[in-house]
Amino acid sequence: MVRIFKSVLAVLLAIVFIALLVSAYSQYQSVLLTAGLIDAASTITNDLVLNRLAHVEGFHAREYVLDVERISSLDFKEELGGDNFFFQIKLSYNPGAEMVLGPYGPSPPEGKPVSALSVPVSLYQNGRLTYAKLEVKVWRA
Amino acid sequence: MARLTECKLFREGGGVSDILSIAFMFLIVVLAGVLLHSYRYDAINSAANRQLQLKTEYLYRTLELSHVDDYTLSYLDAIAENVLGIAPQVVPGDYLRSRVDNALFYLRPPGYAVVLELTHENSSWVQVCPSDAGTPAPDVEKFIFSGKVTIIIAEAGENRVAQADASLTIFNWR
Repeated sequence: MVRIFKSVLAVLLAIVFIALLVSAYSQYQSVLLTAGLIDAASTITNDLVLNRLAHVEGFHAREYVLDVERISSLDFKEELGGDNFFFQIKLSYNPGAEMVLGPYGPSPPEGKPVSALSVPVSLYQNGRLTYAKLEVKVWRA
Repeated sequence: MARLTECKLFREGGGVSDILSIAFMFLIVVLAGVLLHSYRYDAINSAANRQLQLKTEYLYRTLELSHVDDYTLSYLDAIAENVLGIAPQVVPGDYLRSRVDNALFYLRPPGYAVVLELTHENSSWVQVCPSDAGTPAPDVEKFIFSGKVTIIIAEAGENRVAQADASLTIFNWR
């Protein structure tokens, strides 16, 4: 009787251990996906500010300076590390009487994880550079 | 009689070792559970910290490039002029301080305070936003971006180049 009890207890412990491993692995996977999504938001924001939306003077793109007119040429899709991401952007400036441009791009889907990142940028408007906030929402396709 | 006692002792020893091994297995399961689940959020925290470092750099660049109201001078250039003691000042010091405060308050990440510091020799400009946040404690996690602001000063004979050291710090405040 005691021997059966010991065997059952040992099997039970082994099952608990395997269940722990499986749950930890699946959680680790979801954590990696979330961290990947956060990094994707950073990468896409960087790409927008340094290249795709950067104000062009002659043949030179001015990094960190956004040209609103270039938003119309965006396709709001980017491939990173074999994964496809969609994004939506919004610009806000003039804190006294806040002006909001956008949102531009598709709406984030319901029930899917979305990473939102807001960064300070300079906005090129009528020959002047004013500070603004660029908000980027990113999700997996 | 001696053999019986030996056998009993052996059985008792076996029982104790079984209980010990099961207790040890139980301990391993508990430890493994704790270890397997303890590091799971590190990757998310690291990614969030990378975003905060990115925001710090972007805030510095924005102040470096954006013009102060209708002046054709950026925030960092205007502060550097004040720190370097260039006269006459394009943007008056008190007015500039209020404009910088407005910009920092609008641009800072929610829940975080910003310290902007420009120094040149014995002169310095330190601005904290919100003003009641104070400077960050040594044990608080900080995100710092630093650079140099270069000003060309037109003088009678020739132009002179002067540099101020600039640093921007973001830290968790509330």
